[in-house]
Amino acid sequence: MTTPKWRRYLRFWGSDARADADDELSFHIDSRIAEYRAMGMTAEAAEAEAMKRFGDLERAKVQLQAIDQLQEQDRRRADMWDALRQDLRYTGRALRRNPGFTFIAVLTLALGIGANTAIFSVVNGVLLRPLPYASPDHLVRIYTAFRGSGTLRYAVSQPEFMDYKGLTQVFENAAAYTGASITLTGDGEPERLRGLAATRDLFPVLGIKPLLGRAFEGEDGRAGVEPVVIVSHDFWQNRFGGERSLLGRVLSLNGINRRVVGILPPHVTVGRTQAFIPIFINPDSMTGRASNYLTVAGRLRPGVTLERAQRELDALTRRVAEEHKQTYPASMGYGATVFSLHDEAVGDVKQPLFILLGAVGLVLLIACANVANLLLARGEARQQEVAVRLALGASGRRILRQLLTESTVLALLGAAGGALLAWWGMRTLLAVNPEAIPRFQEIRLDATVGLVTLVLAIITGVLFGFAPAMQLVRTELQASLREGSRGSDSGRRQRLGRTLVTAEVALAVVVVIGAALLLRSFHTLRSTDPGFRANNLLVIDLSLPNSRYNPVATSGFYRKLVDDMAALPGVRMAAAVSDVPPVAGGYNWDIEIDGRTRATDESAPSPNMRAVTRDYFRVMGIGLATGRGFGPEDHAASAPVALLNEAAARAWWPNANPLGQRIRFDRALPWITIVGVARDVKSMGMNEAAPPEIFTLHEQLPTAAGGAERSMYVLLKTTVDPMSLNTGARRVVRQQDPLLAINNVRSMEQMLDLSVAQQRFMMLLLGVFGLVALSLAAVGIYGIMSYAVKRRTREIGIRMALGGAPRDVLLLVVGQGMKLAGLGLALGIAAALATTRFMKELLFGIEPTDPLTFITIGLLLVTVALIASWLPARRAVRTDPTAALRSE
Amino acid sequence: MGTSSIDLLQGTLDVLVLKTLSWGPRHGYAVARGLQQLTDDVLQIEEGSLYPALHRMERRGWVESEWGLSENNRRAKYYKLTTEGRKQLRAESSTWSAFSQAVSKVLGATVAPA
Repeated sequence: MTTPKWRRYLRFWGSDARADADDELSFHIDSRIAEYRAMGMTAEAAEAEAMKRFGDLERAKVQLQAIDQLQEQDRRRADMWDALRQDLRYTGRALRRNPGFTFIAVLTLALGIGANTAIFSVVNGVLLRPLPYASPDHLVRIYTAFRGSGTLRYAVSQPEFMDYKGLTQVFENAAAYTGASITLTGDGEPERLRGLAATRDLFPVLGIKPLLGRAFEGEDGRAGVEPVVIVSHDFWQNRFGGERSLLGRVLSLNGINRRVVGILPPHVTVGRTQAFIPIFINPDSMTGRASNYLTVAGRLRPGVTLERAQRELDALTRRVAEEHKQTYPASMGYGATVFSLHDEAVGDVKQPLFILLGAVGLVLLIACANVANLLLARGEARQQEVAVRLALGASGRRILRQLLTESTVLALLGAAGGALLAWWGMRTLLAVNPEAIPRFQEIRLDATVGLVTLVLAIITGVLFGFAPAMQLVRTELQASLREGSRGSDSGRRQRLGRTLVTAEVALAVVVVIGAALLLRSFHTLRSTDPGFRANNLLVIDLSLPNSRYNPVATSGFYRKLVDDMAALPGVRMAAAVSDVPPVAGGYNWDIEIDGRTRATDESAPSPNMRAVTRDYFRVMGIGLATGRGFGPEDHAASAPVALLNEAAARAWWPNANPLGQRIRFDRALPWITIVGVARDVKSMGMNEAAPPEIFTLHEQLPTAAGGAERSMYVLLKTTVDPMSLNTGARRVVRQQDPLLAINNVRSMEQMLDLSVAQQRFMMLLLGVFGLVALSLAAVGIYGIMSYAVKRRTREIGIRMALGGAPRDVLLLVVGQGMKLAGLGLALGIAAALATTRFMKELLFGIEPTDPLTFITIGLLLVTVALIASWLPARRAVRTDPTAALRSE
Repeated sequence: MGTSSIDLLQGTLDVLVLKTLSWGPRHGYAVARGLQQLTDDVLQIEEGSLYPALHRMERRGWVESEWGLSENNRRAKYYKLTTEGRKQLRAESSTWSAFSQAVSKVLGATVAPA
């Protein structure tokens, strides 16, 4: 039921529900009394009888009030909806009448809101949404720490893990795991799987229950017990088409037959792991304390804080360090650290994302300023309409509401467009750069994002609509129907417009400077000499299963493979290395230096160990600082030799010649002679200094290190486009072992790109936002100058008619535009100086206040402002003076 | 006041009020008087309950109200049946007559049901 419109006028004089009810009831009682009196009763008797007949007067009053109140609410609500419907109808008409304005405004807002939606969807997926595990707040990651060297996050050894897990007063449970390269064979093409070897508590800790089958249990993973594997839902669907029969089947993984005992539920896995194999830690025969290779996830007991867990770990590790002085010399500062799993998973994207969020916030403000300006300019045309409505009795508030409805509708249309833009933009960005952000698979436009966009749109609508609407209504309230009321009112309007443009130029300067800093930083990063020649280099990563390859077979395999590869047409040289720059992880190996005794509280030198084949340095184009490289005289049976990098030489022989010095990895292993020092390369990433490194000959590992390196990167230096050798290289591998999976064949250029994927992601995003900000600011200047010129057409016409030179007019208009831009620029640069320091950690090789960037962007803005105000000025000069004079 | 007065159920009062209003707009007191006359005072209506009933029906949209002047020139609130109210009255009347017919039939029966 709708309330008829005339209802609105009922309360013209206002209404008082309580007084009305009293009146109504007393009328009844008085009438009754009068009737009884007419029948001949005394006044008292008549009143008593009337009251008796009426019943409880107070109760009736209370009831009436309650009902009337409800009715009043109904009415108000109905009126509101009614007014809103009216406003919307009116808005529709107004926007349709002016399609050009509507289009520009909606587009501008779509850009502003879309950018915010996109970035918020990333922030929501990555930072805000909890991890997909049961009560994720209680999940933590525990690391071993060596505070002596400032290392707070180090891998954990088996005995250390058992120590930490034993703190049952703080940890409900804990599990350890480590990445495992797993090759699936026997089912068509061999496939390399992202694997994880985990202790059996991993699934209970994370609260994951398998969809089918079981989690790890009992003695899974122990030697002699049937080997098992648990697979992810994705892997099950993609490789086996979701066939239920996979459960219970036996798969050949790294040459070991493992029975599939469990399949995980959809979307729930650890990272992007496809296959989980069990690790069994036998308390009676654990690996050494110094063999740190595990990652530990724990679940805190309810009510236990991170601080408390940290305190307990501190106490525990102090005791352990006391007991194991040999393993943990005091100078190492052995300890353990505990962090929230969510914070760890999100890692270092938190700050970049907040910076992006800040940038898109500024872009939205710029968009708002622009649309507000459009509305102001249009206000001129609407003055008469508002005046008429006011004269017809509409209240200022009513018209204000109507105008705000218009801006909110614009903002909502913008939000719809923005959501589309965001959806398309995010899809494109993630497709280009999937590895750039953790948890990227959880980024989507969901209800939360939708709600935030909606709220943002409404706030936006009020934000950009309020000032122009106030301006319009206030002007008219003062001037009412005064004809040609242009002078002071439009002066104020112009002042507001100029303020808006100045502000948006200032905001744009901040965003563009931020973007430019990232751009330059990225350029510096990308053009930094990695220390090796990346061109014409093909990288293939391989991993031999230890079930089929003992140490000697392993070095035999790689020696032959490298020779065969080098013989391929188009290949100049070939080599292999255990960890390839620029993304080498690698392990630190403690070494002992011949002739140096070490105090018990002094930690051993611990370089990164890289196993290489003979031609590694030549293939990579890494120069030698001194000494020689590996040569034909070095082989499995010859005396073990090694090379250092410059960082290692500096660290351990700062004042002596390292050549001829001897080191060994263990007392039981032979001495290794240093024969050369190689130049440092960016092995850990383009923005990281080289760590101390030691290079050993791969085929000498069985003797020199008592083991083998089964996972190697094979490097081909080519004379042709490296990717063209993809097929040939795969064939060579297959000829030697058809059961090996070859997943990654990449050019070194691709790997370099990949190593800066996150930086590129940030730079691209901020670059796009900077461009949007700059365009919006340019449109803003252009708009306000066009408007100013239009308003002064008559004046300009007179000047021209009186013989004014076009140049003077041009200068006049352009000068005005430049004044605005100049002020905005100055404010923007001041703001940028104050804010860019938050980007310090994102920048590489450049200061946040880099003068060159600031100057360049300043000049860029001046140029843009020049063009944006010159265009309207030129139009003004070209107008026919007579036409201009007639324009009023 | 007769001793044979009958307590009214809520819904019944509404129908009676609607019926009274079906002869034209009137104020609350006139509605009370009308009911009194029509029922020969058999139905003992506590007049205090009349007004909440009227206001409730107004909120439901069955009646509309308007302030006017009474016969003795006092400000009085006049109630008027709306289309909605007329519809309601029709529906309630037919329900009521079906009900009362059924009750009368039972009470007037001379032979015990088989």
